[in-house]
Amino acid sequence: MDGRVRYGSRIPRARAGAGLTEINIKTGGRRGGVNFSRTKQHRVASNDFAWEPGAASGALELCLWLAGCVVLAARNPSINIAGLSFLLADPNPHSTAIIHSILRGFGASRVIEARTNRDALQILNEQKIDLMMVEPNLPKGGGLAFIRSIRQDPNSPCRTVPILVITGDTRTSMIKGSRDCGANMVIAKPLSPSSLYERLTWVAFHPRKFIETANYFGPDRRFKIEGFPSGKGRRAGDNEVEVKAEEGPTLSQDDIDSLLAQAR
Amino acid sequence: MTTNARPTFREIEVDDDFGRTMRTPGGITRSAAMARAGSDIDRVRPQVSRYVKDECARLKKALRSAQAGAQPDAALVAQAYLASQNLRDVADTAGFPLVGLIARNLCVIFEAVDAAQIDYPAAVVDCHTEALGLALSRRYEGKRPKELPELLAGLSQIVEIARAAAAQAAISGTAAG
Repeated sequence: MDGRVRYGSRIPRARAGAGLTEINIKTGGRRGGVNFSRTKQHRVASNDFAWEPGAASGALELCLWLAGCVVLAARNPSINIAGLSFLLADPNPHSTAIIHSILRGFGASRVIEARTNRDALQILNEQKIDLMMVEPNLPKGGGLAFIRSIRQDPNSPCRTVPILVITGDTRTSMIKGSRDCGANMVIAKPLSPSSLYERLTWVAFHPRKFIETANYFGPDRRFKIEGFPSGKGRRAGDNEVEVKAEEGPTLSQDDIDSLLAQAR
Repeated sequence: MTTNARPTFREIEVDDDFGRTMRTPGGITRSAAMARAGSDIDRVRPQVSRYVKDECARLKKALRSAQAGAQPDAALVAQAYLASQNLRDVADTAGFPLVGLIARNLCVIFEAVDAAQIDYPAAVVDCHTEALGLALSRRYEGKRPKELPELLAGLSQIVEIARAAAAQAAISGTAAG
């Protein structure tokens, strides 16, 4: 164990019947390529690790380390895509060659490519698809119209299948169009393995409810970003999502009220 | 009497095969996935590199032909825009980050021209055509934009001018409308 990493500001206690354990983990140092220094309360499923309350502190440290691993693993989950079928609907074969190779690297064994709207629809009618990646410039109607037709068809077997829009056009109009036609997410080209991995993880581990209205069917568009799957964004300026303990003097309630009054 | 009729909607919980399978233990970790995807991309890189070079040649030809007449040929401009989009999508991954950046700039210019209905900026496009030739030369191949700030600063400036002109035209259009 890394000597710089300190654990254990509180002994873990099982919450009877809840199947969860609350633990405070005080961490500092570097593990698995991630710098961390924080005290945080975690709830961990008690069958995820084992410990003996009251045992020697070394054992306690080990247990807490295991718990820390569980928490870190939950933030950086492994993905299992073997056996899933992917449809890449993109008119550019070189673009799909890159995405195909990334998916193959992730363990996908079944990736089907379509060059037109019609090809894609035919594949959907003939085969079971688990995730679609659609380029908006798809010939004969466009990718967004293709997505809308799937979402709006109550008889479509793929109506709730996750759909990612892959596009180099990141103008607001394109993002809004993708959202409103029922796509789960937009990924900007050129695609990198890390961006694709994060989006796949996001879709699988943070599923959203579907919403059906008179003119929309698709994932809930009231999409609150609650953090990056890895716990931290890719940009240097991105803050961690967790609310930390206050580090200095805070505003009084009067100050907050006066600020809000100005805003109103 | 007014009625506050709320629009009807239905929320549906979805737990599809994709999510269930993805969450199954025993998959691939992030670091292993990155390493394997990287080596799989390396396998297709030579083929995509050839394509990038061919597409650059097509783009340059379309840009030069588009400006041959007194008025830019709309079909050739559309062809150049499509080639720019294709390059924007794959050049970075194929190991041509400079080409990717120039293609992105060209896309911004074409979109600005289209959105704001401004005149075809022949001089701006010419600068990018020259830069494209430079980016493909042995001296600059594989160089990252960060390594050539002085070369790219000029290109970024003229793209910003095109973008600003488009924004201005859009505002004027909105005000007039």
